[in-house]
Amino acid sequence: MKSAAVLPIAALSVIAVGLVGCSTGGAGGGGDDSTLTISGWSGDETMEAIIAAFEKDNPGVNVEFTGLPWPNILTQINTELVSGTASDVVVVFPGNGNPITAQTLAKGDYLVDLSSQPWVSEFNDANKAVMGADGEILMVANNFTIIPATYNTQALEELGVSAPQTWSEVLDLCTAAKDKGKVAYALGGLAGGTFHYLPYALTATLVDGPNPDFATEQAAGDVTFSDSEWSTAFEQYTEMLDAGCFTTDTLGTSLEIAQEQVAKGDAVGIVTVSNHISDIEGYAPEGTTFETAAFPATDDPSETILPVGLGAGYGVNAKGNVELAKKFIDFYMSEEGLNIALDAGSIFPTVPVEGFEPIPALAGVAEQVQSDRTAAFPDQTWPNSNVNQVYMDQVQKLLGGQTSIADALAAMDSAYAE
Amino acid sequence: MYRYTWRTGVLEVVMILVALIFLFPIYVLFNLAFKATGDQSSTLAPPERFTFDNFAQAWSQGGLGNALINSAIVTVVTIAMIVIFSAAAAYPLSRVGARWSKITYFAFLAGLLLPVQLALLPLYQIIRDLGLLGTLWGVILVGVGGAMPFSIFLYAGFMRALPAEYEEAAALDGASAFRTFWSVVFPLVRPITGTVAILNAVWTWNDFLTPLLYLSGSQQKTITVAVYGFVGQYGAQWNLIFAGIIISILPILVAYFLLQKYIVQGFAGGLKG
Amino acid sequence: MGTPALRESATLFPKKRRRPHRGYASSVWWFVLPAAVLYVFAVVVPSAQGSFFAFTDWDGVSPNPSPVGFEQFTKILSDPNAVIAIRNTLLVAIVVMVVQNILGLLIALGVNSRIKSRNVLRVLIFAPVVITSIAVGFLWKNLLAPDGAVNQGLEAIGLGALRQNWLGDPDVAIWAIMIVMIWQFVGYSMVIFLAGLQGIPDEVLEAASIDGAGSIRRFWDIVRPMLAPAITINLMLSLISGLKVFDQVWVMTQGGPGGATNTISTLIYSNAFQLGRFGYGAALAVVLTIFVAIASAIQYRLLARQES
Repeated sequence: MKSAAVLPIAALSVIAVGLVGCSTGGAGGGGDDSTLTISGWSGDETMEAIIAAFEKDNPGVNVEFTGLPWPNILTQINTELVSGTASDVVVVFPGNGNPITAQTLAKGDYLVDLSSQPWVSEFNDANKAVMGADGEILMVANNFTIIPATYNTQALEELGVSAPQTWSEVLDLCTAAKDKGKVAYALGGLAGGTFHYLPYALTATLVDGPNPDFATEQAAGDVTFSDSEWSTAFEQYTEMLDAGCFTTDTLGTSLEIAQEQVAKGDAVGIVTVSNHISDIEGYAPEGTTFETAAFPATDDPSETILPVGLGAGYGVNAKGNVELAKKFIDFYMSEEGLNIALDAGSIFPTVPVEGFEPIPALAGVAEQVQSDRTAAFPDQTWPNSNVNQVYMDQVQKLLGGQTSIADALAAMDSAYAE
Repeated sequence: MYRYTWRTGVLEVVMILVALIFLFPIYVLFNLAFKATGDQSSTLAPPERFTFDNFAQAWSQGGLGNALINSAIVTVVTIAMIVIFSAAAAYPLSRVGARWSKITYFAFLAGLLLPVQLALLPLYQIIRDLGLLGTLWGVILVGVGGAMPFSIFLYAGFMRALPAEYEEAAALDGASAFRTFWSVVFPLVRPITGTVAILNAVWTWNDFLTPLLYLSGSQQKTITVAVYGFVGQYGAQWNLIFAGIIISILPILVAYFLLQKYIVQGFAGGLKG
Repeated sequence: MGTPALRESATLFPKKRRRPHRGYASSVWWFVLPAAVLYVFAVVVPSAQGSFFAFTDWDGVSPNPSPVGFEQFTKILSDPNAVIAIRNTLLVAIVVMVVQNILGLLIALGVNSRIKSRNVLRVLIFAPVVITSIAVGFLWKNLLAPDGAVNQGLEAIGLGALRQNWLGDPDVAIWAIMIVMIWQFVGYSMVIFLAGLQGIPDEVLEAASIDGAGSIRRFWDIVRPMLAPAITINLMLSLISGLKVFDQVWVMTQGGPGGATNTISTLIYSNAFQLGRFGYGAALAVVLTIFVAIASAIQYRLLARQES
């Protein structure tokens, strides 16, 4: 009886050890000329479609794709690059702010300089500045991320109003929504939520609008958060909070709950990245439609600036199969590759594509995205990741009433100066 | 012995109420897994229409079948190695009074203190240098090594509580040290073997960081890695994730249920047997 | 069958007066070898290498970290987040240890009795242990939302005054996280207590619970000493895991709102793997290790005195 129980365990382990012995797999990196390894997003159907087309165009080439989930992708790719085991093509973010951004990785020569590739000339200087460091281009993205205000059209109709074009109309919307027992703007204040996007929308108009060189001047030490219109942006943010524009108890509200509120019309709109729109549509009852507008910060609609940033893209591992990887990146940015991406997903392309039509929900901002009335996300030019962390903490503290605007900005300034 | 009195009845009711509180979040988990995408009812309301679509989709899209096999291999081998190695190590550490045994015992316990984040990067590079990246062996060795402190702690604690008379009798009969351990001591500590096995199994089965890190780039996935494949950059397909999680926890709950019976036969049973 | 007399020797701690068994010392040392090799390779060596970074300024990517002595350690003293994190870590460790073990023991006693549903209940109460943290985080973010099930439930039973902005109120959030931790890990303690209870004859347990008056006293005098190994193991494991708490915080609040729920482990993670301050993260990890070592040494002493 005693040993009887031990036997099955021993037997199982013998079988299992045998099975383990049979299974081998190659880790990423290196490889022969015909194999390309790519580390991308898990469940990224767009990428899978591009890879399939690339394999078809290049007979004999075999692409091995590894999909990684958020947020582990950050630690994963960083660890692999540092250890020399990364795939040939890896996800890289523009600017600064996390462990796999172009400028962070520039410190270690982990990525290949792509500045002589054909698509580079399609990008303007502001974009190129966040795609690498010291004149090198280390990553490229085929998609823009936009921060518009997204509205539930039926909820707007119920209130008998249209999407606000001025700051006063924003505040009016808050009142009108409140009268109907709704909130104007869903706001997920819990970690991973949407709370940090609305100030970006405000500063685009208030800070970058009058002074497009703000980021450069700040880097030179000529301006700071505290002595800039950032304070106005935070004032308007807290004004909205006090006016009851946002989800009640916003700090306890998660991303999904905020998205559901606007999907179901309990909230009229939400200010968040355009990539969230498809999730919101997924939560919405059939027949619900959504529209977008740039979020205003002043009473002159022509002053409104739309935050548009490069999305996450890809870079080439310097220790990998560089030539084939470059070839893939070129394909990713080619007319053919872009068209596949447009067909498969709802991306907003970073370079002009003939016959491009944005998804209906983004029609309201499509024209402005391609105009010069846009501004990059401020965090992409912040000099270290900690500014972003401090910014998030301080915005939450503002929403919770635990700090003053002056203190919040001072904290951000000291993180910036590190 | 015990009879089922009114007092037992009251206890039964109280325990069921406690269990209901525990079950509530799990109800939500099942509820969401059975809801169709686009179901408008709230998180708590039952589905408008029960659907197995999420399970089917998670199964095919996530390749959960293969992932379950990989997880089973990793878990069974890891647990077998943990049980054998930690029980063997705990035996002299709990029986020998010498100074070296005490020092070794505390050296193992020190492993409980170390935060995993400290070792993450160096350990990855050790596994790389051993050429074990992308293999299940990498995951297994990391799991077994990391589980030693906890498992030896559990085993040593219970082995000390075990009277030495049985072993002494076996030793007097001329049994070797190994034989004494294997046929006398190991069966006697059965409840704790069950406990070590189930707690480590849960941990190994659910571990996500280790298999993600060490199997990345190969075509091998464990069940957790496959399930989190539904978490993307801008959101997660929770219906699919929850369906995947339900699929993934069933084997481990069944294993627990079976081991549980093995545990509760107990010291007493072992001594009698 | 174990009798009380037999079990008097039950203790977790090496006793000085224990006589070494004949021939043991020379013949069984190699039993330790496989475990020791794996442990050194998977824990000791990489941890030692990791702590080396605490004395450098490594940013997680640059090829050549330069040594900075104890600078990273002195930074901790002036980091306001570290102060909050240390306070939270201690609070969580102590509260969770006490509540989880009391509840775990009561539940273990409950499902160790003759109630008919005991086998099912053992599985149900253990189930949360089996669910991975990311799912637990999502579920509880929903349940604890301002209009979530917990607040609705409180209103329904007339306790609306107790409703909270569970994860959004900086003063409440850390307690909400503790509730989730306890929910998730009571089953863990229960399993270890159940293993301990198997060594105690039914008659002894029954004698200790026959009637209300004096049963606590009897439990304390008779059952507790026999449960000593399980109690010690549970207390030490829950203290250590409480001090190292990471997952539950990370999946629900990531240390927010405004840094109010940071623990030492979340700070280690964000500094080392998100903020490009690997050296500082490693220094925090070294401090945490020392912290846990001191706390468990104190606990070990207290429990050792208790047992003997």
